[in-house]
Amino acid sequence: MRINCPYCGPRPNEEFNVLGDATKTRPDADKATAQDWLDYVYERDNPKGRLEEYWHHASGCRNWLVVKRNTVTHEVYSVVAARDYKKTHPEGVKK
Amino acid sequence: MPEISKNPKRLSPLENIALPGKYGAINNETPGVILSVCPARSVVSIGARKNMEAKVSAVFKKQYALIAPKPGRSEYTKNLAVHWAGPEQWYVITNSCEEGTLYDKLAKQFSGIASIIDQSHGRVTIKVSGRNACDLMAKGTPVDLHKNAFTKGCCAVTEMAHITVHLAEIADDEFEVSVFRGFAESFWQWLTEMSLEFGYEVK
Ligand SMILES: [Zn+2]
Repeated sequence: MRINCPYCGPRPNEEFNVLGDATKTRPDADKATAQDWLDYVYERDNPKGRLEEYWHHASGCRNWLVVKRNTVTHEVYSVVAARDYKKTHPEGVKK
Repeated sequence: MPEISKNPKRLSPLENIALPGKYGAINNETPGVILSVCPARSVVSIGARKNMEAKVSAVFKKQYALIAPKPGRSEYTKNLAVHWAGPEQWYVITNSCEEGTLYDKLAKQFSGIASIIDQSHGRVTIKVSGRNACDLMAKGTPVDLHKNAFTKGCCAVTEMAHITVHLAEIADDEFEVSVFRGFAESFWQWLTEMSLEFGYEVK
């Protein structure tokens, strides 16, 4: 699988570390219940098909990226620097 | 008590490992690859603080008459090399001053707008040249090194032999590849083994 890093260009996935689901938004520390934290920290779907994930270009620019990809075909739809993604999705990534 | 030298000399981790000579498939030809460990130099990293990129660029322009290198680019002045090292991050390298001098200077010039870290002791740089230099580098990195894609003035942060490296093409078919000091020996082992087929000379 090749990831087109917005800074470094296309690189193979061995240069990256994966963190996982990018659709989770950190709960408000003052209001969150134990259930909110459970969802945020542990609960993960295991979708077949489209997925949005955080990847870290560890052996490259060392930046966090949001990668939209397909878990079946390994097709990568889009790659955006996580900090730019936050600007256009201030509420977090939505499913 | 051991005697402490008054003039300590920086020792390369490749001091007794990168030994001058000719190795591998040389036959009667000249070696395809020439490797040399760069002498101890000053390496300082600059990381622009939040929203300070324009100010950092202005200091580069005013103090060094150069453009802060864009992703994958290097800029050179008479005494300095400046390599892109990540978004809003650069390495500044020089051979032409005493240890610590470059850091002191940059820390003043970029005070308040960037984080300045002296990495001189942390990195080892190897110069790779010769007619097979590009072939050798291409064995390590997935970065496209074809002349149409990667030329003098280009650089990349990438991986070779599972080791993160900074790669720069400093002249046509002449590369500088730099690794963290602790990885220098493993990296050298890989580099020399990969050079055997071309024949290589250590200078
Ligand atoms: Zn990158």
